[in-house]
Amino acid sequence: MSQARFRIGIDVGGTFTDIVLCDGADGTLALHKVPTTPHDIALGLLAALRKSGAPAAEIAEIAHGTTVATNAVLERKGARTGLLTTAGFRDVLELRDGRRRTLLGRQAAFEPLVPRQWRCEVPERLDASGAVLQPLREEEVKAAAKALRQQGAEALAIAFLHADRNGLHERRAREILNGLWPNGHLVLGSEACPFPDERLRAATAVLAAYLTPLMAQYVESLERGLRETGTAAPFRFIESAGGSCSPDEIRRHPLRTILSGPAGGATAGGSLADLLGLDAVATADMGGTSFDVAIIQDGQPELAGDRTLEFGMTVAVPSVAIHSAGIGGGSLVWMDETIPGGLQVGPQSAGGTPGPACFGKGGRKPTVTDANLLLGRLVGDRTDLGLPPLDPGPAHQAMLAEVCPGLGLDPVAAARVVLDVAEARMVGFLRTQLAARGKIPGSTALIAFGGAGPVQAASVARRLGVPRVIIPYLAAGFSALGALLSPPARTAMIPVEATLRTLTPERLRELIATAFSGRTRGTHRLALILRRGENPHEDMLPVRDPGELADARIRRYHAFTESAYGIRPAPETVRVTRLLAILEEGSSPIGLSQSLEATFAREQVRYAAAPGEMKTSGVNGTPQLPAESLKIGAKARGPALIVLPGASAFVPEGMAYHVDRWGNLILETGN
Amino acid sequence: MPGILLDVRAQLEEAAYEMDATLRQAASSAAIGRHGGSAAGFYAGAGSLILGGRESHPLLLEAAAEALAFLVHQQAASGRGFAAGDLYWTNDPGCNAAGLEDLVLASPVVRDGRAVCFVAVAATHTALGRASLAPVERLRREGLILPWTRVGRDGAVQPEILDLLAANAEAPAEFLEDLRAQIHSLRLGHAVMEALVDRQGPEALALVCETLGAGSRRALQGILGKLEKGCAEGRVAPFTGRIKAEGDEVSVVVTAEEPASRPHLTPALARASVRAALREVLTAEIPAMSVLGGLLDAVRVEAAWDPLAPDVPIGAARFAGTQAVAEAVLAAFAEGLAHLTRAPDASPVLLDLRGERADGTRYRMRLEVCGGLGASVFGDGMTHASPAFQPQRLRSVEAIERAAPLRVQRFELRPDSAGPGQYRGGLGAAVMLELLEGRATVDVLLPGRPMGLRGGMRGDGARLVLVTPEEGVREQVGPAQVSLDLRAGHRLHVESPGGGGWGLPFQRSIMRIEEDLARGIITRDQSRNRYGVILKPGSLEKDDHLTYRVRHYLLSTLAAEDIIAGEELLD
Repeated sequence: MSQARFRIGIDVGGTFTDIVLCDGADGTLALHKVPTTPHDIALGLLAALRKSGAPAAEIAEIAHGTTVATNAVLERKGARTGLLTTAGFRDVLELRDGRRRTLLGRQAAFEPLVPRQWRCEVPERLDASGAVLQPLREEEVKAAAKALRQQGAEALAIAFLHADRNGLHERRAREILNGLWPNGHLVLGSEACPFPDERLRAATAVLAAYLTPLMAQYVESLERGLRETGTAAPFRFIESAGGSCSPDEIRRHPLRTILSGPAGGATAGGSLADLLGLDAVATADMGGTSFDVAIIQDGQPELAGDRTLEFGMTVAVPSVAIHSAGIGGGSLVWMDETIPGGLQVGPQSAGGTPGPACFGKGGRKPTVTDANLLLGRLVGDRTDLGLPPLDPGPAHQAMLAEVCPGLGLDPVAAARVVLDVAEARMVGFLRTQLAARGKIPGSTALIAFGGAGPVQAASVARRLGVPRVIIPYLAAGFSALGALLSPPARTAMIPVEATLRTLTPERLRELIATAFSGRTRGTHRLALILRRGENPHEDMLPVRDPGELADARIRRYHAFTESAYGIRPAPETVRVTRLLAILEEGSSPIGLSQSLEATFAREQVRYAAAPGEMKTSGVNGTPQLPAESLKIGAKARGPALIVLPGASAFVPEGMAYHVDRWGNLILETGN
Repeated sequence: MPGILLDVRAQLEEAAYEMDATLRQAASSAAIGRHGGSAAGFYAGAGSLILGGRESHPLLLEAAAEALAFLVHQQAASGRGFAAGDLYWTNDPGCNAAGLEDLVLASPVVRDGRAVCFVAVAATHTALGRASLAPVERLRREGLILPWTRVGRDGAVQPEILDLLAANAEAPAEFLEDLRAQIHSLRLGHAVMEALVDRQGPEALALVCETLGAGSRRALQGILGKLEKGCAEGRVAPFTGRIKAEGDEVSVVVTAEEPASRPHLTPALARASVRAALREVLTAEIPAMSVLGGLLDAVRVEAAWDPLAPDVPIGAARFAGTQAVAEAVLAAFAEGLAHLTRAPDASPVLLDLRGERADGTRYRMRLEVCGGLGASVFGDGMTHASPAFQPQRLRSVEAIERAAPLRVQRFELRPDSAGPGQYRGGLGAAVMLELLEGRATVDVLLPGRPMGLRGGMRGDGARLVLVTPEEGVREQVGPAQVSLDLRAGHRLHVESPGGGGWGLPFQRSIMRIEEDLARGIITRDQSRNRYGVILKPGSLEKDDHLTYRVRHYLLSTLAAEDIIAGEELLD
């Protein structure tokens, strides 16, 4: 047995920090949860590590999905950042593209990350081809940087016009500032985002600069904390696009973690789809506040090139294409009695504190979780999480006070209406996501995870027409498992100037070589980013084989556009604007099949030895069955409540279900 | 019933969003894909909107209701019914469509030979209307007018009709592609509605429509009941909107004081814009109203000008009139229900540039410069954003310079442009363009100045300055529509208006004024002249004592009307 036998995956969520421990001795997995510590994420993470019980000296590796960068943006807690622009264009961040927040009504003023007084202009100018029209005035660069330092700026972004065509002035400005900006927190637009559109480059460079000091500090505090625990295990961060990278890379490219948390779930979904041999899959991660959907094709999560993090802040960062609707287990239910049909579910959430009324922590407004509990679709026992059981009393009271008068129904009937509305929203959202990618629900499987996903998945799938639902055994820690599964990878996004017709295999190979500076060892995941006409929307076309001829690629694109949009665009009008390339430099650190199988077998043995005293039926007499008690492959029919580690799944009446050898709960919806 | 109602609503809400999103992602034209010129909705058997997409263009959504009501009436009058799978379209303002470039596609859901409801998608196809800023008469001659016509069965348009349209369109391939995407989007919604009617039954659906309509009426009455005497009046030149609630009836009468200044507005479009404005007010109180319909039945709108001689709304200009109508309605709420409304938004400056490079190749470019949005009792207006009826997503400077022989010398905020007020409007922008080679003609639409509310002041107006070596400087202020010839080296300086202010400027907190000064958004002159901030003689330091006294004196002696009366004097 090796000294370092444990591999660890950690996901920091809004309420819980999940940790999945893989024991190298037999490949088994164990899930642990601790409350998230929002004031200092690292503290919760180290607490989770302690709770896992893995001896520090025996930890081989830690992989981590983090929301530190995302939270810093939402809470505006990044560094004081300055911006240098071409003279005449200091307001590029504030002018944006002229869009409004919402179609109707008052529009709150927009505050960019860099206030106007920290945005300085520098005389310099390139023309549209990148040729120098006006040389960089070096003294002005120094003066502007000095002024910004005096105002207390910690980080600096430099974003000049047409720098994607020629980064000479930006690089020169950095050289000039090397001495004047000693902390090195300096980001160039042409490096952070080498694409056309000065707004995208400036926003990306500014955000990268804004996060640089913070992420450097976070990495340092984690490393220090880990050292104090006595482990010298290497540490990896999950990138937004799904691979993993070293802390050093995150120090240099903090933006890569902007969607690190959700990427883990999609990665695990991709691996599971691959294991089960499923072609088209939608993953639904439902926690307390949101319903996050990703589409998996051939075992790979769909990717995106740009990401709008909030209004007016679209940045270029390769990421798994995860789309969120504001509905989760904690979504508040409220009645707007001024209009008929005024029952609203979300987007506000009860969060972790006070949480749903049934948590018994003072929440007085009903939530989706309360409705599920009242209908007996949820197991109230949370002993395995170290938490008190859910209490239907407050849920009943909350429903009675907030919803029943408006609907004229008793709490249980009202709960049914609440779930009808919540599920209709989830169904509609999922259908939109599938339709946007030309997918048909009838030939797609749904992998549901997160705390609330397994409860809602069956009903949503049945209404949507999805034939099969897969609920992983470790659904409650699936994103942490994803962190563990992410292989070390290099991610690159590079500009391309071609059309779908003119991009040859030779040119594509050249681009791939450019993206990875000639590195070839590893597995490529490639996607072309396409645009048509004057539409800013981007389509992603995965590339399975760089040698694929243009005609074949066009046929694949047409198959997509016909099913998604009902059109067949002329290939000459489809521009290839970027290549998104991921080079996986190794395989997953753990074998998913072996680990899941061993874990489930171990738990079945454990359950057989001590079945425990768990209740055997829920509120409405629905049979309540631990997943470990089910015989592999044995078909059964709902209704049933299947108890999983840290979560429970609801199987509606008449729906066929079974567990497979990996512990996945498979539901056949009959569609 | 509550369960069915809520279930139907939730499903339709997501389906309408899906239709909209699909069309916008699919379209290759700027009008739909970049500017959001599309709307998808479900409509009752009589044409009233049941529910629309949350990303739908609010005016197109309501204009489609007007057009559908016209179609239903037309079919009934001629004794013709609807058949399952029928597909109809129109862009004819004479059939109450919004404008020549706004094509409404509709398909009925038929049970027992009766249309129980409609699914409709409206989209802006510039190829149909030759949307541009050229003189209206010319465009009217060039545009295609399609009255309500059944163009297909089973959800597909007859190919010959498509060929005919394409042959008359400006960019046939792009137009056909967008039209096919629009049909695809319609089919998506139609499938959802058919399934819903199958599952719930037409009667249940009719009941849902009726309940939603009644709810809108009740919501509107509830709000108007809070107004003194149940009526209010607002004016945004040249329109006046009078709102009245009497018993069960809500009516809005819109009048245009200067008939000559409403050349791009049909009564139907005015009615649609009134309903869009009322929805904005309702949404501020009841967020769910952002997608719910029923207003066609809930409110009687009278556009008091000759409906027999409708002007054909053409090009981007059609939205300027509708915006003014909507803002007149919104202004009516400023006194009694201030929390539901806002000061008027500035319209963008629109440029349509057609040029020829030195090598003889031609190009065309439509540009927009957004203005500031109106402030409200909740805070300052948004800077450089498009008003609700004119959604925009502007090109980048680099995209402009790479597509045409133009150089953008600067593009920045326009200090002092925001309408001063306790809460100021959003700022407009200033752009300077230089033609690098060849020659070009540019049509420019300069909007008027948005007014302020509750003592807030007007945003600074739009301005255009042409600098040429031959003729020197030529200046034009808005509102105006001008056509200019440019040659290499000519420079065009364009300034968009700021949004209207809200509340008396002397009530703006000193801290906010100082913030604006620090950010360079207002000048010392404006802080003194509009906000009453006095500096110590010979220095840039604020005289706190004198500033307090001046502002206090002005506040205690001036009313909102005085500010408005004195505004021109201050200018």
